[in-house]
Amino acid sequence: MSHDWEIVAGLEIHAQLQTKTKAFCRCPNLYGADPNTLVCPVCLGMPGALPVLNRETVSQAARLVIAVGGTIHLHSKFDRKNYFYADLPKGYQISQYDEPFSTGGAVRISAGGQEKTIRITRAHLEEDAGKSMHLDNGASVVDMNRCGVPLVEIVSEPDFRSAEEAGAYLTVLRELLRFIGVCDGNMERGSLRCDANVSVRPRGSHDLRERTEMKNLNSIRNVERAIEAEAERQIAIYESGGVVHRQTLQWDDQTDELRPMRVKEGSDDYRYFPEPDLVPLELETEFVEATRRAMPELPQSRRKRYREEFGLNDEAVYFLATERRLSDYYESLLDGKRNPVSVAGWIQGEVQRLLKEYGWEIEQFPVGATRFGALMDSVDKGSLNRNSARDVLRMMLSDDRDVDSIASELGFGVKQDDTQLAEIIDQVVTSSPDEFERYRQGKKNLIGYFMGQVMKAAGGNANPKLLQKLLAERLERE
Amino acid sequence: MPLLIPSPETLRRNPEKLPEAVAQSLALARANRHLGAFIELLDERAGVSCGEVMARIRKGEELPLAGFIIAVKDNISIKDVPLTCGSRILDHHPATFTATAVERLERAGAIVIGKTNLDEFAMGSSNENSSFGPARHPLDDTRVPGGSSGGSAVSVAAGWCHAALGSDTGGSVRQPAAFCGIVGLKPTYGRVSRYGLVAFGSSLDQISPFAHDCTSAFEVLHAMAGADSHDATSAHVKVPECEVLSLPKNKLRVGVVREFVDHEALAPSIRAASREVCDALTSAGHTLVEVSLPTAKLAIPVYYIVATAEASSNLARFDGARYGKRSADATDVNSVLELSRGIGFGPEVRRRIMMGTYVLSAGYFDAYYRTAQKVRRLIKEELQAVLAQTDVLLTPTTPSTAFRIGEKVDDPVAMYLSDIFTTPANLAGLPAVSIPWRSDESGLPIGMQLMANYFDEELLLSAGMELERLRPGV
Amino acid sequence: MSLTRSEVEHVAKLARLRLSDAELSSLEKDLNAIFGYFDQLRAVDVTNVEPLAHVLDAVNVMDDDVPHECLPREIALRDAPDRTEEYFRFPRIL
Repeated sequence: MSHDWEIVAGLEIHAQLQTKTKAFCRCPNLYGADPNTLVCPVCLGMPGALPVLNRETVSQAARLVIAVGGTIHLHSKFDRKNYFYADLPKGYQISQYDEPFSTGGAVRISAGGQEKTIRITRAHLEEDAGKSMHLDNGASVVDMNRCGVPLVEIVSEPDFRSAEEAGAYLTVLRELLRFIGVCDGNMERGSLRCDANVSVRPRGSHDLRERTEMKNLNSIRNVERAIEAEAERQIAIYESGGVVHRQTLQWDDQTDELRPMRVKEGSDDYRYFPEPDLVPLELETEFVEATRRAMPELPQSRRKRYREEFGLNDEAVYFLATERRLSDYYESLLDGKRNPVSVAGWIQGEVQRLLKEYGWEIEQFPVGATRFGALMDSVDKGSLNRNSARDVLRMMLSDDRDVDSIASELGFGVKQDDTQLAEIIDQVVTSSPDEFERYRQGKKNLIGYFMGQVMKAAGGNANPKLLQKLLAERLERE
Repeated sequence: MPLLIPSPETLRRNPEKLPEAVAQSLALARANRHLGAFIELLDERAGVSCGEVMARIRKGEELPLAGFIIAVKDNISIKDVPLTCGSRILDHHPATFTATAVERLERAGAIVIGKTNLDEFAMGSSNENSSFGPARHPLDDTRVPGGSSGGSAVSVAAGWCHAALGSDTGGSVRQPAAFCGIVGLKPTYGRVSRYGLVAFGSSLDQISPFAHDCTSAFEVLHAMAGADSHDATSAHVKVPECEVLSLPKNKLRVGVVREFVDHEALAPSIRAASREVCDALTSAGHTLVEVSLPTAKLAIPVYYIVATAEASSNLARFDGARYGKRSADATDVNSVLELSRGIGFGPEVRRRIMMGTYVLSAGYFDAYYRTAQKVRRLIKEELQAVLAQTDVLLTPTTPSTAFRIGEKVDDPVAMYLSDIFTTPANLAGLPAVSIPWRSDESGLPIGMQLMANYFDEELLLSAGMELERLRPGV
Repeated sequence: MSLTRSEVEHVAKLARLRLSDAELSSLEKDLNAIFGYFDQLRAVDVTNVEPLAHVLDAVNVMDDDVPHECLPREIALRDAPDRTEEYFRFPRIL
């Protein structure tokens, strides 16, 4: 892109909350059900039906706002946004207009080698519409299952100066929402949707030129490409002396092209007014504070800590501080006492392998932190070697006994009886008089030979540390 | 007019007479079809209800409304029963759920015999705006019974039902009650669940009972009142323990609204009746206090701006999409909307949707809607202030008695002005009741309105009972 | 406050009402009379008066996040003017 021009873009994100039921009725909030089966008079807009707010919507929205550092407004209210569309049964959407749930907040991103802060203007609650689909014969059909699912709309300031920044923001935000468990961030399925507002201006200028709006951007990649394509288009217009008109465009990812979208008629006058069927929200400070206290440590903070305090490398840091449950599992294994690098190695190694093999998510991993911790401790103490530990772990997947029981059943030496081992050592030393003599004469590296022999005699089950200690003692004697 | 079926007390004591009474009620409604009171009579359903009520009585269940035979305005939803709202656009849509208020009344033992006629979507003051023809006054069928709940008023006034449900947004139960000579009670906003009432003015609407007297009105209210988890605006205020009404325990302080009792639009007979009521109350030892509501004269513009704004939004769901009528000529989704709505709605509904859309539209929102909301607050505060010093307020219910069919149809402003005394209670959300006083020289009923403070329906109806006791010719 | 014919048409469009010319003229007349009458509101002093949206002062009315029984699809689609086995159907949505 020409260096004379600069992109100015803002993103509006719609995140579906992971409540069990819809925002204003108690129909289940589920993806993929049979069409028009998760419906009731309320979300169908039947005559006489009324909305009632789902309290979990407020809780999850609160977590979201706290996670992005926004300010929750203790007082907020709902408004009707009036427009007609086939997927909008009431002919209005319940949303928030002039007294939204929150304002402010920011997301730190890294793009083009630079760190940057993208500011959030506001976030508000609203309900999703149904889903319309086009049939081949020209008709359209509508599925109302999605109608009424709670959304948080997050509006950013026009702080984006490149497509890459937009992609970075989406990545961070998506990860954050998944981390705190309020949205599963699936752009393909539409649980996270993104509209972009794009304009361009001569580099160095501060004015804001006409912007266009882009919809139907269903992946991070498409967001980036669409922004770039639109910027190019606008620059070309200006450079040929033309004028950019406000319009709505959609991205066709089959052809990688922007196409103008028919604007919903009358969509420029939503005639917002306060929703008479819902009373206002007056949240208590204590509710906000309690929500804040219950928040998990967020990824960016964990990454900093893992990098700076634990000394983990970038790959490990990213791996261990991105998915909430995995990160929590890691931290519970650390238990304040174990070696972070060593534990990291276990997770990135054995655990990852097993998860992949069985197709599990971490929450399905059958070995809890206590048992796994005991396993790692055994290896550290030396009572189990790494290979044996892997076998023990495998058995632990389907056997919920403690580590020691399983290890001994598998025949791995854990009963470190000094006497037993001393006997074996004695036998070996006695049966290798020449080597013993050479050791005594100064060939100290023969200890390796003795180690091997004892290990063989012990069926591979000797505790290496203990063996070393006892052997060294023995070899100093007659 | 007298009750033409046995009283609820008789039927409660002799439940075996219920089926006959129900049949009689239906037959009367049918025989008087020309009064246009009912859109649909529910013979089969009423028969089933009757059987159920009798079985429950036999099992020894306490049913507070056993013996009550009632009608329900056809903007109140009953599962699987066609819902029309007096409009073609719903095309006899079979409702998918039952309104909480109706559920509660049926659970209390009431039997519903049919859905009554109304002004389309409850918009009107005469029941002339129905797609099913007008309802007619039972005493003079060239006259309106009032509206929008005209059909329900007729069903009670004509003596075919013990009570009926209507809805009151700006006076739609009190005004027909006054015209027809029965009791019409608008509860405090939030007292009765609106779940199942097809919304017109959401911040104003209440399901409201008609009855022959205050005692029955109170019984019906008691059975259906109370918070409902399906209605976020329903109030979590305790319904009074007492189920049986009695006369006021102490003498009343009655506020007489200066601007209303002397209103220029008042017909002479109503002006005279107002004075009689005042005299009768004074003679009975109650104290009359003159109060002033200077902003109340603006109730009409405020009401019409707020109500039509809400209605324009509430009626947006009638789009030929998921229920009701769709125009056969529609070729794309926009024309589905425009044509279905264009032909499905009657002229008064179209007019009000236009008004409401206009006052909410960009550029006019502040001048009309927002201003109306502010004046609404002033009206509410004024009413609260005078009710702080009085028990109840007294006003005429309507400026005139029942007018002739066709008389006001061409002058919307004149029609709207007939709501002058009733709209303030809706704007403030206060409970109000119309009590029949007497008839005028032509035999047309005159009603007087009482208003009380929030959730004070018991005091309100006791005062009403006192008016019943004091009225002439009793 | 005077409504022009084109404003009336615009409002009809916003409200998705297809009206005949005669109806538009009649509405123009009616609405002008009505709003002429409503203009008396402008004379009221509403400085420092908060708009009233709810007559009661209830706040925070919420329901627990527990699923209820949904409508069977057959009932949901029962009265649809046009439908397939599973969906509401429309002529082309543009």
